[in-house]
Amino acid sequence: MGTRETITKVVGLAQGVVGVVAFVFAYFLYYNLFNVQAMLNISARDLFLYMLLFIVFGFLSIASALFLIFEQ
Amino acid sequence: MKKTGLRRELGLLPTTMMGIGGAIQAGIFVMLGHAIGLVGTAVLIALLLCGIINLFTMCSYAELGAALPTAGGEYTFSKIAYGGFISFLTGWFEWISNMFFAALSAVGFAYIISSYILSYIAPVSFFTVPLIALFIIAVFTVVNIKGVKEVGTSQVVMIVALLVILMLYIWSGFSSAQMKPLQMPASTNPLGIIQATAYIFVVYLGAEAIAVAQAEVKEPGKTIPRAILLTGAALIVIYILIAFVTLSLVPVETLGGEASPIIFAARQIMGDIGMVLLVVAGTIAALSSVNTAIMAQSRVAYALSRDGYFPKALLKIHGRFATPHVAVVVGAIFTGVLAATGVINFVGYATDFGFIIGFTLVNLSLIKLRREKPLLERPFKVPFYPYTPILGIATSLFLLIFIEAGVLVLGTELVLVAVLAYYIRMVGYHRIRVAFGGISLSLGGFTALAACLIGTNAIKLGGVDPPTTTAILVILLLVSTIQILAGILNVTAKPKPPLKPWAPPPPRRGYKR
Repeated sequence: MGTRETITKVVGLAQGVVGVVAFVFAYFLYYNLFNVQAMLNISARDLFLYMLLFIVFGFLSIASALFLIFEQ
Repeated sequence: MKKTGLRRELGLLPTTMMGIGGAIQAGIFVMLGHAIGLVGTAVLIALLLCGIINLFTMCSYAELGAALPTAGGEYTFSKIAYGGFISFLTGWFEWISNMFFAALSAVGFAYIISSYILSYIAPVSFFTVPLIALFIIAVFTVVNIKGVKEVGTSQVVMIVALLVILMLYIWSGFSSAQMKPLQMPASTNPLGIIQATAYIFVVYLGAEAIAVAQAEVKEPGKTIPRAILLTGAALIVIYILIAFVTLSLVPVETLGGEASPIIFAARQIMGDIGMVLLVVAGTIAALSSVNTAIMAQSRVAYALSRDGYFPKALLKIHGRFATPHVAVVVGAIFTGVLAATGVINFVGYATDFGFIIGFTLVNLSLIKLRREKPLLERPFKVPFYPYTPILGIATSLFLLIFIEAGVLVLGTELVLVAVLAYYIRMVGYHRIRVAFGGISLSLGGFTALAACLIGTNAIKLGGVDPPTTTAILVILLLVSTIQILAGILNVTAKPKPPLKPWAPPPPRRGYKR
């Protein structure tokens, strides 16, 4: 495996982790696990906006990461 | 020459039974309680509204099913009307809706079992419902892989048994001394009724199973429209009678918190036998729906794979059982993930969402075919065209507004995934990859900008303490670096070399042209 391939896989993996974490964080936010809503001062009114933001961010990151990890 | 393929053997009665059996599932047993909690006795109005909204689209199914009686249902209609992305989107939502439907039925089954059987044996924990739901999905995955030859006959027997029990319940209710005159509320919030309609709409879904099996219906021009419309009308009568009896027997305040209001009311009038009978009916309804939905999702995935939209791996047929086992297992995994939430309200709304989009696409296909193929032979025509399909689209989409926000987010994601899956297959791998590289660069740039603004105090995070602000800053910088690197790598990726034109193999030694 060449240097570029290795870097591509590592960055892809990191981006995938970022995407998954964004998804998990959206879940934490929705169920207010570890009191994250108060910690980040997020009101109930803005909750779904933040959730949408994290889910879309997570989805795009995972999709991009898949291109890097499973490079053809 | 011996004719192979599907044979037209289903008459009006079995076709109608298939529609009714497809629609009556665990939903009516377990979702009525929450709906009663939302609007009380006005749930009867919600059920009637659902039935009418359902009939608008069932008319479109009847016209298209009679005119195009080939296998595939909605997917076939939109393939002929639109082709391309729209037909893929229809197939996609048909696939997803069936998985949601299977998950809903599995969770409904788990609720009935845990509330009325397990709770008498041992205390029910938080994990009981998801575990039972997963178990039942696993069982029917195996059943569908093995392929049950007599599944059609057994399904009809189960549906007849289910209808007999429900009729017995209705009859016992009307002849019971406990029956009190039903009092409708003096004033009900119309928004509450619409919210309950959006929630309970799921109980009418599944009748379009007739469209999936239309290639096996005798005299399709006559039988399909009659069966579809009979099913739609019969469901309205059955559901309203069930709800009417239940509400007349038990006070609304008691029913709102019950796991299954119907089973609870059956116990009041028929004693323990009534409860057992209705538990049996609920489990039959749930099990037959899980089975049908797992089978349906695998066939849709198979068709999408055959047309090149899904990976070819889903086309694999089991050597011994002759079933699309990979498609069955892949769908069952997604169904299991959804069922593992164990949240019936969420899964119910998600099923509504998938089917509402499917209904909209069927109505759009009808309008397109009426315009572009006016000479197509139509044994049945939707009355009051174009108002009926337009009403079908408008009322279905209107219900979407009242669906839980989390489900709408999930639905948006599913559309995004559909767009991505379609374009990756159809537009080309490299162009999509470069596009995603661009998106990653934008995300990285945006995150870096946010970090910069927070770091220079241009934006102050109100109510967040300094250590948390520092942690956010570090995370943003890390994320922006990863996104920018990923973007650069995707944008600068080399395209695959084009395929060499086909050339005949070189002649073998000793071979003369």
